[in-house]
Amino acid sequence: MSIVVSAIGQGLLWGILGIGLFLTFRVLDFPDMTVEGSFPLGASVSVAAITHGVDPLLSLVLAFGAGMLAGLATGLLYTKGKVPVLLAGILVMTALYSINQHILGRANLSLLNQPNLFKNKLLAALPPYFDSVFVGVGAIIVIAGLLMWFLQTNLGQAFIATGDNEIMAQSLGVHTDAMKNMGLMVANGLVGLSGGLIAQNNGYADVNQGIGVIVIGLAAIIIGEVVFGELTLNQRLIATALGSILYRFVLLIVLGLGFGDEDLKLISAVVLAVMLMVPTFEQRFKMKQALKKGLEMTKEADSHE
Amino acid sequence: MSDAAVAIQNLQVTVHQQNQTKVILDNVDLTIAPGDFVTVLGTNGAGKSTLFNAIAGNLPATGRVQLAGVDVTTMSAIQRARYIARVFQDPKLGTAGRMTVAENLVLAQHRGERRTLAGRHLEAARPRLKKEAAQFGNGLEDLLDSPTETLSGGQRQSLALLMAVQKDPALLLLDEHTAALDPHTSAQLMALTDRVIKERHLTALMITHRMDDALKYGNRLIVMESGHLKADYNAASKAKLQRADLLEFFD
Repeated sequence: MSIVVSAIGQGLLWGILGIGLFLTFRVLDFPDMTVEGSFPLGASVSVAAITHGVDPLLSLVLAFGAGMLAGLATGLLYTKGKVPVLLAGILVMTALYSINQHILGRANLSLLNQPNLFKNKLLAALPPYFDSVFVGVGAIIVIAGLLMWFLQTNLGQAFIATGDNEIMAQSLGVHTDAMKNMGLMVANGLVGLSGGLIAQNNGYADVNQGIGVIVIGLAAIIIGEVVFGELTLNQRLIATALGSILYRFVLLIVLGLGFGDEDLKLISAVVLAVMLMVPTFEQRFKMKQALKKGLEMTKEADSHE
Repeated sequence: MSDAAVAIQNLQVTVHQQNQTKVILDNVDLTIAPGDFVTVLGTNGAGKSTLFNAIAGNLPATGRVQLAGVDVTTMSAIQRARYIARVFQDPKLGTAGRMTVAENLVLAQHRGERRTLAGRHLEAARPRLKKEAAQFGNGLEDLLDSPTETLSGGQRQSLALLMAVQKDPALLLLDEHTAALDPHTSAQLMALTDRVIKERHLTALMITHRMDDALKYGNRLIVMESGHLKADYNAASKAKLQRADLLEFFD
């Protein structure tokens, strides 16, 4: 039971990363590699701030802000420097690896004997692992609620239009570069926040914590899409958070089959690859069905003649 | 000339290719009176699209462009969107495919404005949008909540036109906007375009390859050739113009 509760909690905390990634990957429609750097950045900033006496909750605000700066760096390289967005993200991600070491002062830093959001009296009183569920649900509700409101404003609509049809958005006077920068900032802010929360939940930050997180975020988005199907944009935000939880369950099952922690990245990649191929196979299957049906109908027509 | 809707002086566009400089729009002067509907003819490469791109600010150009008395020469394409609305040839370009018809219309309602955190007020606008969409007679009014990518090409282009005129632009640019449609739908959209321009007293430039459309619609016709304005017919001379007269430009 506690394993399931823990998976739900982890899924929710990672779900924030998924929602952040959703803004760039799905709404703006480009892959943002910055997340592999902004995730450990958020973790490092949060943990380093706490060890310097900053309140754990405030440290998360700093993690969010640091993530936003990372997103801005990628955005400026992309929109003003005309560096291809994939490369811009990789550049920032690589640079952040060094920056994160400086922030931590070493490769990893523990929160042992330090205050921590999850050591809060109220949360500590909950049964084991319910603390992360509690925090995760609260965070997802606030974040999804704010985003849903934002996406229905004129600014939010201009943001969506930028990802949907940039030429049209420009012809309507939307400053598309500003929209992309804004999207990258908010997305990486959320990724940084997710990093900070997970670091506090784990009790440490590690500079290598970012490796493969983009796969985890994408898995949440894609699983949400494959499982829940056609949804409105607002619903898809929630579907991503739920997809993140489902992804944790998949991991639980796979680990239960006897795979070790060292196989985790391989498994994440395989899970994502399979999920990405589902729509293609599904379509091919449907086409086969349709073809079969068509053939049968012609046969019938023939036999009636 | 401040009462002109469009005043273009010495508009020139040059491109550099393999150490060669080529002038693709050569010192074009063009003044258009308010409410004029000008059709633009010319062969491929005559500079029609270049003229549009230069007016809209999508191409680096020298010369001056004034719209409704405002000098937009130093403005970017995005800033010029306040004055210029454009309907493209490709139905996919004019609308945001994953957004619904109503969302697209509300987006266009704020053309050239600062996008703020104010609500989009889709529901309040719905009755008006429904009424506007209904004037096309192609069922667009029943598709307000459908993503535009599910629409037919004709429906998408009529939506693009409706979006373009939402805020009565100082200049409407129609860039072969019926070319991708079948003849019947194309004729329908052309008639509608003409009606909308007249009703709203818009100033419009329309590129077309359909000579009959160029003759039938608008009150002025210009012919472009290798970056120049080759011919310019006003309402009176355009009325006398025959298909054969124009064919000589296309030898």
